[in-house]
Amino acid sequence: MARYTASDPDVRLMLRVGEDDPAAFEELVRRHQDRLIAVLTYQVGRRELAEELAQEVFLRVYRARKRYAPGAKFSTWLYHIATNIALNARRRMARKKEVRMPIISPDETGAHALDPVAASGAMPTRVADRQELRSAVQAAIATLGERQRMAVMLAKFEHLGYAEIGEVLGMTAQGVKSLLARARENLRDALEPYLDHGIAPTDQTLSLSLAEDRSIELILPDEADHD
Amino acid sequence: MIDPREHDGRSSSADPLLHERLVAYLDRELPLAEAEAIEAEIAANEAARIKLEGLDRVWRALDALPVEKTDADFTRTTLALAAGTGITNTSAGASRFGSLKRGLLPLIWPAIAGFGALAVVWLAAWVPQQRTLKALPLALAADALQQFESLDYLETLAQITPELALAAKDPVIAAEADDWLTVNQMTRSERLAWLTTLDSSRRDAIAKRVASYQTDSRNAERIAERHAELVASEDAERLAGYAAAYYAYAESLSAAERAELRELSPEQRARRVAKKLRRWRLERTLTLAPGERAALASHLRDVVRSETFTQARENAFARRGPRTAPPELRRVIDARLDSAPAAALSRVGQATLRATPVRAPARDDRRNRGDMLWLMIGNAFRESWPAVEEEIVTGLPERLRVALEEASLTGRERTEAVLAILGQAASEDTPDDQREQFESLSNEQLAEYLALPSNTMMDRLTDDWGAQMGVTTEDTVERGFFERGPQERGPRGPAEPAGREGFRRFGPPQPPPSRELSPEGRPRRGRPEQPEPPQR
Repeated sequence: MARYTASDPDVRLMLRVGEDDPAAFEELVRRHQDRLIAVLTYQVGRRELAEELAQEVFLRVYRARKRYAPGAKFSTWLYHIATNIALNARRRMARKKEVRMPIISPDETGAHALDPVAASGAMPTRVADRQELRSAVQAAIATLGERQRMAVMLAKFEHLGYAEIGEVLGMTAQGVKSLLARARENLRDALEPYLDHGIAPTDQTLSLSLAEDRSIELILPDEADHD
Repeated sequence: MIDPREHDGRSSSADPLLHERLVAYLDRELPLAEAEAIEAEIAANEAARIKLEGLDRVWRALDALPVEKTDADFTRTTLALAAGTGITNTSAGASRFGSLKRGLLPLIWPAIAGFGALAVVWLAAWVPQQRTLKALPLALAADALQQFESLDYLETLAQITPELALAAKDPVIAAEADDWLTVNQMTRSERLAWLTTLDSSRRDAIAKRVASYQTDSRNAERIAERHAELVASEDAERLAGYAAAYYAYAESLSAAERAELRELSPEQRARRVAKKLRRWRLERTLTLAPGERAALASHLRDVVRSETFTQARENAFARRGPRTAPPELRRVIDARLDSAPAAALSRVGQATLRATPVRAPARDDRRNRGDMLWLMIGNAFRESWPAVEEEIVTGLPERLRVALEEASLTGRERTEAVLAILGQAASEDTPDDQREQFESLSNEQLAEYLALPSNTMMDRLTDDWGAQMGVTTEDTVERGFFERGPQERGPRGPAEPAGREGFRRFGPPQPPPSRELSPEGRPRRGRPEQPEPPQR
């Protein structure tokens, strides 16, 4: 406990939240909200829903403040909650509508299919601009299974170790090692044609990837964004 | 020669252990010894090196993923919701606020804490989520928007009748429409704050609307489109008013009537609704506020004591004569007029509108006998009623008087409108004699009444009331009050014999007047001819 308290500023903040310090809770929310929403957006496919889920995550954290005992990095705990909430949300969505869309739009901030011209083979030597690369990466991420995607996000952006990712996902560190190895291989298969030759991940690639990974649950546009 | 597959590093996929180790190496998850071993392998194995570079390049490409900055609204709402779950325990918070980084936070936190204190009660019942707050404007208007298929329908209806636009000016309807548009402009935290300013019944109603909207997704898309069209329109305010007015009208209909309307084509529906809107709007306008009800009740007590009404009452009783209005029954009617003037005037007024003659009820129909008595008295008020009605109208709230004047009503319609107003005041009017009857009941007697079948209970109550008042409805039958057939208009001759004597003279109850048929076989219009009274 002392180790985590000393090394993880989030743990120190959370302990202050447990003492009903509103400033500490605000600080925690501000520190994690952007990344949490981004990760959840990749999990559930819509930023609007991701914000709602993120809010629920923070509220659960807050409600548990009196029971909180640091036994891991704060982000491990946070994303463990987030994973469960995202899983439940996807189950609800799956129950609500069985129709599945062929392609995920992993977030609402610009995750569209690649521009056909930019993605065509007509510009193999062109240096991809930022937007194209972003789109290609988003499409590649969309080819990953749910657990692979979460593991990638946690490793890449939360800098969690295998053991910590294992705590979040309920796996052993060895299992995470294999999971991440497969995920990175899938990402390489999807992205290298683009990085090397400007060829975007195609629908066919996506379809094949989806067919290979039965665990993936696609995102359902069942609730219109009304604002 | 180097195999191209080896060159692009893909051949190493066939060696999953190497692949895992390369990934773990990049992730700095290998123990030192294994890391050194893999470094040695990379140095010796071109394919492994290429693969490692490929994996690393793809991993770095993930940096291109956008991380959008969350708007401040999300933070504020999250903190406010947390406040609603108990973060308001900030009694010692003032000292902590000083340590906050930004100077504005000392101002924000007390506001959030205060807001949380307000929110906590309400949130205990309903915690709106981000999605709810976002969809709130649509959820508020959804019920209204699904009453019609397009905004063009409203425009068509408004062209057919000005009543829709007039109804839209109703303060309650206008406020509803204003809410839709105002809430639509709010940020989510403002919406949350707005919700907490509402009283509990309004919040409950909104919660139900939201729940209904969220569970009924059948028409969600079309409603969303309609909503988007509405709020984007240059005439949004006017159209929202129309929509709110139309919704208020639809809400006044029964489910069957609404279903019937839905079956019609838009044109047919618009025409039918146009015909009904005027009366509906008048009835809506004539609805009394609680304070207005009390003021009207007070005014009606003055009306029944006024010279106009006293004279009208004397004339009516004189016209009935002592046989149909014996002193004991007159005492009851007077008591009702004095103690419950709204209810009594309402019954009298309704009787004046009755077009068909009063028929005698069955002999054992105790309750209807009482109604018949009121009808007969009311019939005698016909000529005096316009003056009484004017007395009543002078005491109405000004907005109702104006509405009655502006409505261009026929005499009968105006009387119906006044009676509708009286009916509202009468709903809280309990005659003294009835109140005394119930107050005199012991718990045991009350339990005994309640154990009876409803018809039997009402008969018992009527009999017991008569005994308490010194009047029995059996007496009225014995005196032949109801056996005379249709009442005549105008003063009667000399007092008629009462009791069994009268019954013998006038004979048994008359059958209902058969409708005379025209030569074409259709019923004749107008009042049936009055039977000749038997000769004395």
